[in-house]
Amino acid sequence: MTQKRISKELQECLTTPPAGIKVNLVDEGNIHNWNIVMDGPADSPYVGGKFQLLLVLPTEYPFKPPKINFKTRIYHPNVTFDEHGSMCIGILKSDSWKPSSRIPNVLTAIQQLLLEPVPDDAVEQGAAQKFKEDRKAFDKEARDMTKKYAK
Amino acid sequence: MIQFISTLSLVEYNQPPPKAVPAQPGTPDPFREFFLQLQAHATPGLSSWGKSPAKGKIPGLRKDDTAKKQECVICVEEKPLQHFPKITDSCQHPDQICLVCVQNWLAREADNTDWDKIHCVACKEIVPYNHMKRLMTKAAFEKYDQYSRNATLSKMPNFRWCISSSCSSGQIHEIDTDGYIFYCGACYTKTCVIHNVPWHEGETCTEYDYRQDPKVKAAEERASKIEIKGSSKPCPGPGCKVNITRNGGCEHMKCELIFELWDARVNENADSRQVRDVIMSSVGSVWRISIRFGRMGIRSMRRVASCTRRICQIISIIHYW
Repeated sequence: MTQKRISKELQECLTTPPAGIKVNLVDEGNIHNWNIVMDGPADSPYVGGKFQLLLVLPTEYPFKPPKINFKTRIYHPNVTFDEHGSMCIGILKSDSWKPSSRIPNVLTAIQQLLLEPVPDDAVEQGAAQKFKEDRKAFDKEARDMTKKYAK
Repeated sequence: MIQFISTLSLVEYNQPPPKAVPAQPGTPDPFREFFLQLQAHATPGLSSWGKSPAKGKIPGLRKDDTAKKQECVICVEEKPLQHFPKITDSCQHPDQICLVCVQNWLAREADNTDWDKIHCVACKEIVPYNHMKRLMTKAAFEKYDQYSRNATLSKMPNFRWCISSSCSSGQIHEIDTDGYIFYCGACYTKTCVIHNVPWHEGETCTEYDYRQDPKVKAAEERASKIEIKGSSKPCPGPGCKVNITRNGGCEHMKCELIFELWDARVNENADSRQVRDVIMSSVGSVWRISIRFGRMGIRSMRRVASCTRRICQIISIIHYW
């Protein structure tokens, strides 16, 4: 059941991916690990950047949510600014995940998170504080980091 | 009061009682009432309670047009509409998840979540007991029923499970009336209800505590040493370093080991203040020493650390007159 669902979702993402997103498998023989390349959305300080993400589908998928990490560093209140790039996003939390949610929904939710950070649910307190207190400085920092890491 | 509940199932319990045994209003059974309350709580507005599904029908499935098919949003399999059950009465979403996926979800949740907090796979509506029964596979439901029963029993005041790993029985045990030993009615294992361990034969709970807890032991030893230092002085007798203390009587004391006069003041009744007897007993490595003085025969008892010599460490002698 899991395999069929994942194959179908993968097929959808390969043929008609959400705008600004490219999907391929890390290893052709394993449909549980996906490489995602996400363009920084226009109207965000991440525009022009290409962000790599790793999406891992657990064996219990879709009853358990997928795990997604930023492989490219990103200056964002809801993503840890380190090699893990762990993300805090409502749709992926195990108590709000719904088995009927689809990966394209998750990916667009992440794009939305880049457009609209949620500083009250932050994992990077410094970035969150800057975002709330000095939006211009935050945008500049985010642009600089995008240029530095996401080219 | 002891009640045995080892094989009872909520389902069995909730079956209407046979007519041959009418309920007796004069003798209410608190245990049964408890279960009836539970049933009322778990099955609001239930009409099909206890009815087993007709043979040949898949439980929980709708009777819609069987020719129409739809895709399950979870397993993406196409199935006839009747394979898409309504999950709870209060679910507001369309029925887009097939019974197999619903069953997988409920079985997973039953293993990972409290039995009364399991929610619908598509929304946050709690799935009540009767709907769990309707939707789950028989095997999964039996497991869930067991979880729910155990959870309910565990919440009852004074209910205990037998600690034996091979026994799944439990019963009401009230310390006031039943004492500290829990006798399992199914396997006859004896359990200490204070420590929740197999009963420590030949030992009181206090003695068991003392034997079990090296920290308590070490702390007591330390406290004793401090107490001795502060409240006693070593016997001035030659070669004797026994700590002695006086808590009453006159100022004439005798060390029971050497019987040296400690106080310089001569007392006429010196002879009658001699130690009457020294009783020693040991519990493990701990010596108990009781000493009786003079005519009044007041006892003092102290615990002393492990002894190599017979009476090397009497920590204090309480002298009454």
